[in-house]
Amino acid sequence: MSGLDGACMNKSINIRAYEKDGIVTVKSIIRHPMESGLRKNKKTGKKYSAHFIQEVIVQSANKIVMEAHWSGAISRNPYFSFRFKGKEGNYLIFSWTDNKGRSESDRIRIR
Amino acid sequence: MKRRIFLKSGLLVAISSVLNPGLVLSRYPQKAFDSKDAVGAISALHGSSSFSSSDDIDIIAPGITKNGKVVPIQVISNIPNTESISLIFESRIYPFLASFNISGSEAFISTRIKIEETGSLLVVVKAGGELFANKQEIRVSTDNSCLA
Repeated sequence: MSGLDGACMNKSINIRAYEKDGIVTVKSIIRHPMESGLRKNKKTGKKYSAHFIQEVIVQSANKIVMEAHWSGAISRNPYFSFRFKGKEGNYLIFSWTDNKGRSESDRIRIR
Repeated sequence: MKRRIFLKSGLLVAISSVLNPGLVLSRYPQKAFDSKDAVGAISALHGSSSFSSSDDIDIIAPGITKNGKVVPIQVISNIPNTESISLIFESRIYPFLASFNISGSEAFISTRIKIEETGSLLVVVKAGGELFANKQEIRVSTDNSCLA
């Protein structure tokens, strides 16, 4: 539940989507540490525990237009852009889930 | 409580449509991400590791970078019926970086990746049930001198 509450309080997803000639370009930045679990603390020699987004799902017009699976090798505060065939005015639902089971979702209208 | 969440975030809409049987989701390919070599990762993901090289996959990535933590990359596949794009960085301990199921999309993705050291970015594209790949070297330079 805390994840859901977090979604309301503090949006991590910054997303834009615009259509040109039937092709929608989506650009997004997600605020997330993307800790791979491989990085070591230089003082203690201990590894930082993994905390990264594993799955990104984007839907529009009741269809999945993008399904991405990530490792911790995607940079911190991930930038992600892609295109799909879609229409201005339709909604786009963008959601992510991380390895700790936290998830967030945002809905915008395609411009 | 559920109703409240629904009102608050609209997230339930997303969840219920994810659960819609008409929408097919693939599982997180944990095995491919756990693989310590590129070939193992490709076969864990696609069931086969044989691919043909293709120049129809455009990789836009810096040939050399100073900051390996944020390396912008773009991939465009010009192969018809492209179904998925996977990114593999050969010198990484766990080479498999990410995969993008693009059957509902145009074959273009852009993101930023972390690489610890110089190596080759291998892009594997699945199209029409076959695998194609192209690669580009990305060098990480820590010194400020001019590199030939």
